Amino acid sequence: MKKISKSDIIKLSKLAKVSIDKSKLSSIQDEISEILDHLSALKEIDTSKVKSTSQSTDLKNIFNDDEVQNSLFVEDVISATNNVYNNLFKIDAILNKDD
Amino acid sequence: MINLPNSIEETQQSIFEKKFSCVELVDSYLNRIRVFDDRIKCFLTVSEEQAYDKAKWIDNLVSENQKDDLLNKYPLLGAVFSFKDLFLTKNIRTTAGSKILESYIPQYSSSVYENIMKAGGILIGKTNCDAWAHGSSGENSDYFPTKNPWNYDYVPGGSSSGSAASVTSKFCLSSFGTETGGSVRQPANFCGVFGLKPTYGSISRYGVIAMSSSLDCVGYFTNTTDDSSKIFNTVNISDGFDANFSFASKKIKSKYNIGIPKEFFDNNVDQQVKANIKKAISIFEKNGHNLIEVSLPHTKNAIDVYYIIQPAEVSSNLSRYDGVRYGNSRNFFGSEAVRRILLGTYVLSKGYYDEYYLKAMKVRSILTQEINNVFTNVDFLLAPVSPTPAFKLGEKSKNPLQMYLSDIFTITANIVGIPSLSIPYGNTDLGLPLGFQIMGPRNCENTIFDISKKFESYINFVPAFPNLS
Repeated sequence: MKKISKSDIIKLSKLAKVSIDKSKLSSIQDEISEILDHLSALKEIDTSKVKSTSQSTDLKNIFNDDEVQNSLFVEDVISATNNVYNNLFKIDAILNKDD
Repeated sequence: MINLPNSIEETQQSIFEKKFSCVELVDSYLNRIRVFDDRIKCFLTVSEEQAYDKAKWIDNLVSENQKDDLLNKYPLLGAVFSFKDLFLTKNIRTTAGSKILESYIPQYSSSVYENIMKAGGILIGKTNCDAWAHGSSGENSDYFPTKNPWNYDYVPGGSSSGSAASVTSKFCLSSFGTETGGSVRQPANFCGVFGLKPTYGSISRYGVIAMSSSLDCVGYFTNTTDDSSKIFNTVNISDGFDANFSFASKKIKSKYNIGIPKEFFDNNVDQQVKANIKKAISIFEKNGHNLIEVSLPHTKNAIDVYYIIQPAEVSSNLSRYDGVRYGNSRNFFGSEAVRRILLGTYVLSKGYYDEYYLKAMKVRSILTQEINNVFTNVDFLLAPVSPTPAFKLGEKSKNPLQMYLSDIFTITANIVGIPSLSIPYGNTDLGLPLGFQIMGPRNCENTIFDISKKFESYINFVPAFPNLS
């Protein structure tokens, strides 16, 4: 069974912004490798003449009329966090002062 | 102490005949929750105040209006519901079973919740579930596992663990859950209640915390087919917020062609599960329906298709939990969520996308074609819901792949988007519930309800409940 590398798992965790306990890295590696091994059974199926399906309804281009409707009040929108300044959500800096 | 009703009809009859008031009904449910839920652990939030307010409002209405006028306007009047903690309920804490949303109070409600309340329903509380609906046993809740009310050493199934268990425990009359890979049908099967997975899109998912968007469905648990049908009529409506909406059709027949897919009856299936379904099959046969063996070879690949597409979509849907507008930081994700996010990110990444995600989407097409073809010959497919009855707490929780493989019989319906009803029937020798599922083509819910009602009449069905300890 080919194993996904520990460095790939760390790369994935950075991409997906999830934290991994270094002590659990080995067991995560084993678990994911075992799962990927099972999933690779799909390789055996001939899909050369098959189109992909991304949804099961066959519906296309479902539109609503372009009408202005009520929305949430600002107080509601910012109510779920204390990290607010002037009715704006505070986030981590993206650029430094000198950029 | 009142006799708690088993159906919407009993609830309404009792209220209008003054056997009990709505406030007394809510009292009884809340008392029962107080006495027993400490051990079963169905609820994350009990909404006492809202339940009493609604009950008083209903009692007032009943005292001042005619029964028929009221039931026309409020068809679910007096029915007490719980909702899986994936459904946003305005001003009532909603956690998704996760520590990330431990203190989250939604600013709006899900459409389904609003429709049930508008129809006269009462909310008794928000139920426990596997965190983010990731699980098949309830053991992945970031809070605590729910127990199976029939035997507290066993799982109630998942991810809608608390929902199913709350109906079996008579903590409410009915409960809403969600299905992505079997998370309504399997706990329904393990807890001995009816569980509907509707046609994908036919019940709006607006305001339901998303797991895997091409698979997610709203579903629910009831004690009878009739209740399942009544509730479906209330929620199979377009709210303009779910673009996948479709109405159910109304075709019914007196005798049906029922397909028995041989791939669902292989050596993986527990002997008691198999023997019990064979009894159900002969009951259908005795009553004039045609039972036809069919073959669906690509259903063997469904589990791999599912465990590629679902984690991929999960990794995308869970990216919104960045701790900025709501919730705790991403460090609060549990290990199952992290596992699925990593898996999903992997199968979508450069160099692996073609081999996994694109491949899975193509096999999804093959499977869909195979299922559509079979429905040109049969009206339904009858199959087990799970390869085993409810398993013990801890039995599969240490091996994620073993837990995933317990979904093998439910995920076909999710991948193809077709409806399926989990029907309770029989028991194991340990007294745990057994049953089967009936799958049908898209939008045939009313036909499924018809065959299920026929089955209830063949066996003189009466809902059964455990004696809680």
